[in-house]
Amino acid sequence: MSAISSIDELILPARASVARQTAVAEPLSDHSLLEAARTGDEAAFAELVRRYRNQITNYVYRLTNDYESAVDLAQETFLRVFRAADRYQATYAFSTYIYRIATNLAISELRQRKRRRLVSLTGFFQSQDQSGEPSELDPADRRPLQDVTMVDDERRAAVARAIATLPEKYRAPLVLRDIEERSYEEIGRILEMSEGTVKSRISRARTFLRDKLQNYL
Amino acid sequence: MNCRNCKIEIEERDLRRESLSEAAEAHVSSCAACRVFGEERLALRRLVGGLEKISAPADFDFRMRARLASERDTHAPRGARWFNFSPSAFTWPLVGCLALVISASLYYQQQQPGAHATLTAQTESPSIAMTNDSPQTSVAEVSPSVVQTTDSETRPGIEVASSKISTTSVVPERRRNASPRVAVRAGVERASVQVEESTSTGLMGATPRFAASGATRRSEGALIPVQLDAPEGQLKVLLRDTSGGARTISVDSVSFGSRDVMKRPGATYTKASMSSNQGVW
Repeated sequence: MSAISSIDELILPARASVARQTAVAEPLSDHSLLEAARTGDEAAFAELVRRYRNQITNYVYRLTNDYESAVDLAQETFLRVFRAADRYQATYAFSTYIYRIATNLAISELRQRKRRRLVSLTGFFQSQDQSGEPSELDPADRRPLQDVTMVDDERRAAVARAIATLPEKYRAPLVLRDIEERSYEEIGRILEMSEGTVKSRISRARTFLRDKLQNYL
Repeated sequence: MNCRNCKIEIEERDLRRESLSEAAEAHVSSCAACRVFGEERLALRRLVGGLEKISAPADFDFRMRARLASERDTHAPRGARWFNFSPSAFTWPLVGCLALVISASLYYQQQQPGAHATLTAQTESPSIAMTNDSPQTSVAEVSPSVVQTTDSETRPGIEVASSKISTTSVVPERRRNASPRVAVRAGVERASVQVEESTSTGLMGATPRFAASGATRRSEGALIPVQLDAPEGQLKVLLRDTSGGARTISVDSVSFGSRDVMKRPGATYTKASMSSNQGVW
């Protein structure tokens, strides 16, 4: 009887076999993995999770600005992929499909937060943007900078905050374009809108960000 | 190239793969506004794109598998959940048993003759419910049917007939017996009338008996079968309406000869069945 050296051997017994197969042959496409997962191959689904877990977590985190809920929503995204594997149609790239699910979940979470009416201290200074939507005041920090590392941290935090304060409809296209580096065409498919709308929204989002981050530019 | 097209090109270019076209480069070098716009956009995109990549936690797979396992438990086949003693597991079997009990009790109630006859006596017309209060009296509760006479007078009528032989119509006279008055309109259901039936016992000393039960009578449709060896004499029918009024009418017996055959001494005959041993009123 062989000893179990790690938890992965215990919970992922099939992954090793898939890894051996994929090491010999060329890596399976996402569609093939999902097809295998549909027939009950858990190792194939585990491989899909391994490929996309970081991307989806990062993407959802940039939308929600909350790590715990981002991890939770990323897992929910994979669960939905698993549940709907029978209905999946390989019309577009799998990444488009999974990003769409993640986007919808993240937007639902943002709307639920809005319904819960979390009171923000800066919410008292809310103003309206050019499109008439309320935007939260996020004044630039004009204090003198103290250390280089702190400067980087502060800058990242300010950018993350600025993104988080963007209206939903601008946030997702901007994150997909400037952080996830997706093409306009793919963003349009993920968000189910035309390419022109995507470009317009990204441009508006950048204008918002420029105003908020002018001290870091 | 004008400023608008130049800004669009600056906005949409892919930083990693694309550089500005020669026309746009030429415009930017000559237009200060477009140059500032380009520099701002470039700095902003580097700032946003320079955010560190967030990774999934180390236990992501483990948590993922735990959620998948709980998902499988939730969507387990019905047989596997049968032994799950949660309240929801018993809901459908309980509802099924309840429906079965209700339908069985309804069926049993419909099979009960007394209940059915009582129910129909109150609701349907015509219907008869028989009771034997005394040895000499039988009471039939009949809701009258409407008989349209030739002079267009509408009156309640009771049809009394043998089930197999013939029919005799009993119509109370309204002109002679004004009370009880049964408000009757053609085509409309009316109040029920009780018919009490008796014979003059002076002739034969026997009492006519109604063999069938109320349920049977109801199924025969207001038929009052009388035994063939019933005493001769007048049949008296007592009509009672729901308002408490009553009246008695007499009906002469009608014989078609079968009674004489039975009386003939030494006559040989064969009684085919109980149903053939019935006279007609």
